[in-house]
Amino acid sequence: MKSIVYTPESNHQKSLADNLRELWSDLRNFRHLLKNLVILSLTKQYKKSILGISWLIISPILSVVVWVLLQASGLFNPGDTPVPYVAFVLLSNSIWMFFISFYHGISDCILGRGGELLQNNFPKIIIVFERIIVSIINFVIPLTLSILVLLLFGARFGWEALFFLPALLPLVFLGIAIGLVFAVIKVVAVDFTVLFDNVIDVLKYLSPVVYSTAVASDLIQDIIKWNPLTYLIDFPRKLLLGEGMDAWELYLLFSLISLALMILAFRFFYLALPWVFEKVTL
Amino acid sequence: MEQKLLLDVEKVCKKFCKDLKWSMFHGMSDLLKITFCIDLKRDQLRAEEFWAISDIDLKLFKGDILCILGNNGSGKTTLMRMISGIYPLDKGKISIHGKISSLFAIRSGMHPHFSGRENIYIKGGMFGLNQKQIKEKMDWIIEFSELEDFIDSPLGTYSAGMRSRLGYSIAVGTQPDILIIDEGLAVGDASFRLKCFENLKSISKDCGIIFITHNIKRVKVLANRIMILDKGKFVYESTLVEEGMDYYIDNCAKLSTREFLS
Repeated sequence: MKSIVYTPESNHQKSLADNLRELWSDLRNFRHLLKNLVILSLTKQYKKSILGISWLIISPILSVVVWVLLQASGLFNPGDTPVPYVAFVLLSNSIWMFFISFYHGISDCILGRGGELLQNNFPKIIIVFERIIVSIINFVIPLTLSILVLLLFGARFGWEALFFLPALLPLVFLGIAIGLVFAVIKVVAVDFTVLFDNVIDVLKYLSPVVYSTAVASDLIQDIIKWNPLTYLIDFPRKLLLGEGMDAWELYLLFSLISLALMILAFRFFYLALPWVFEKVTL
Repeated sequence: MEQKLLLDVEKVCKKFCKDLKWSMFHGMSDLLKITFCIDLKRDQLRAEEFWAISDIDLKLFKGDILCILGNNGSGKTTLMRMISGIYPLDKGKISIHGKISSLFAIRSGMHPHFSGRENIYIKGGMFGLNQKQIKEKMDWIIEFSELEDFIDSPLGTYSAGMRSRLGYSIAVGTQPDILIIDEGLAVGDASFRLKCFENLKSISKDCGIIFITHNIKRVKVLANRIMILDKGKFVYESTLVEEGMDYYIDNCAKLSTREFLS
């Protein structure tokens, strides 16, 4: 018969390795719940819709139409982009949305489902992983459409493009790390999240998302040079577009930092959330 | 014969903060301390904090059907959440020997757009069961909840009683060693409630049950032990259930007439 002992020190006595073991064991023991929650999350928003799950395809198509119309209007005059601008922005925007979907999804998951988590005792990390998996699935569909549009606009892919998805992992790690920290902070007070939401919006324009790294402005050139997101976004994008592997050393450095931040964020989540969790009802 | 100990709660305390602004301030301060590995000093009260649970001791043995009575705000649910592992302890120790299932809000975690069967998988997963274990218990849950004809209909089409019956059946179907039922015995109609009481008495031979209710009739019918919680402390404990109820009515329940309860 399994025995559990709870004391006030139960949490603090755990090392980083203990936290990672706990994470693994939670995922293994509750994998069926995780699978069911992912299915629930993907299907529940369309359960009461006439078109049903087809909205997963229709929404990205509408985005494509909007961007094509904007391109046709000649509204933008960006820097030198390797493929037609509309396709470039579609791809970059998908990568950016992918990144912030982890921040938004994870940072909201505890406060948003506080009632359910208070009444049902299952590991809260399962809700976090549900958000991670849903974000990945929601990315694959717009990505596929973006690649189709790129092909339509004349882009051709080399062998490096195969490494595009694995090369996005450091960006995922960073998104998860930020999301986990704010998931805990948000339970206590939302001030920092409101502030960070604005920072994220500004950050999009300080990263090479709607323009390339070859943008004309010197000021922007200086900013993006010091912005780690530049390397985490630009390196995989260049792999996909067959533009070589510039600045791979910096990409590698920031990838390792992102991985370390994610591991530390998981530890913070496990150590800190139990002590502030009661505040979800406030 | 020695009774088998399933749950041992020793000198447990839990504090809360009365004021929202102070609660946020203490929360941020705790997060900073955790980040920099500074001791949280949970055993000390800070501004606007109070002990919601104070020096509680409780033992639960196999065969116990323990009713915890107490007024609103006496700390019953907080204690049950600590035993269930939802809230951490500020002082003391809780030892659990076996699998624990807690039923706080009987319909929580169930989704109206999904069928009863789909909800069994979701809620069963929350109780820690895997797909295979849920499949094995599926027939029993459907039969016990008396939902054979509706199990594949969306939960949103169920009446409140039908949803409660399903929620209760899933919890009991997990076959826990310790079953906690917090205000969850208002299940369905009179005949189903009677069926639940008989079921609880029957399963208590193999497990320990803690239930919280304000309904005195249910205490009389079910419990073989009673504990009374008042302002975060146990003030009475006995196996003489009727005497315990008298104590509660005379000392804790703020009633103008005794006849209201009895």
